Amino acid sequence: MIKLTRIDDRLVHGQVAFTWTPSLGIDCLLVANDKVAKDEFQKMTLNLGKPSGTKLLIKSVADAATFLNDERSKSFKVLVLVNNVKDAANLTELVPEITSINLGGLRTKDGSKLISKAFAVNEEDIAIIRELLEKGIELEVRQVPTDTKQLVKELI
Amino acid sequence: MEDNVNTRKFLIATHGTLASGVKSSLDIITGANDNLFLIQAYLEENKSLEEEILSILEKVDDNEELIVFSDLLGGSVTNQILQYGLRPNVHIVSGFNLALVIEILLADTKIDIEQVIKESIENAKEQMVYVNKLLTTQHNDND
Repeated sequence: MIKLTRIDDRLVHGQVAFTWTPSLGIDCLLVANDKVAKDEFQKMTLNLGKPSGTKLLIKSVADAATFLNDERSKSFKVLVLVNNVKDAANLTELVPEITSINLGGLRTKDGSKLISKAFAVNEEDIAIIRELLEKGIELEVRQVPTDTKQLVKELI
Repeated sequence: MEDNVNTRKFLIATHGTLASGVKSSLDIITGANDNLFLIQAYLEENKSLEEEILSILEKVDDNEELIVFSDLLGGSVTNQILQYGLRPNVHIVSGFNLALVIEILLADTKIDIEQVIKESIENAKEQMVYVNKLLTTQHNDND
């Protein structure tokens, strides 16, 4: 089952490995990203950060959706990682089980502004976020599990 | 391996202020080192780590070596250094402790850096010890 779906431009890193994974009892990290799925060097780098006792899968967004919708993935406690808002929305569209998205970290890029300490969005992101909110998807900002959930609908 | 390399530069790269803390300890123990750079990531949430890494690399010539000490294997600081900073003359050591940094900083530059790093890691590992248990063992040995 999916324990958390997180947007974080660093994908697998310290906060994910050392806080989210133990706190949610995660045994499978799933990176859903078309570019990384084809980049052997970045895959190797992300593997360095894999917490012990977990499985790390790196798949394209479409393949990640197939995996998540497959009965065989249900026995895993999965943390899904994407590095942008658009991929999160696409995955949510394909995977009905995703009803909540954690906004973990997105650094500023051209034309984006911070809506919380560590999450920056541009106009396009905001449009996607509004669509997700209209569909009833919960969007919450937390860097680490001990942070208090900030609801995005109150921030944009 | 290059024979003529003899300038070594160092970078301590950490989440938050650990790097300047380590530098403060080094200043006391080994004295100031002009060839030491620091990266303290995420203090300003949106500062680009990539730019910081590249600006430090500009200060390292191809015939010089840069030894990077990063805090966590698999952490985003280490990952981004790998992504943007990996060059033939850049050597990255993660999970450092103070003993490791001191040993590598003070190592003879005539000794090949790969050998220095391997040996220093072995020695530094021995620094991490449950000291209470060490005392108990020694005490029992004396009985």
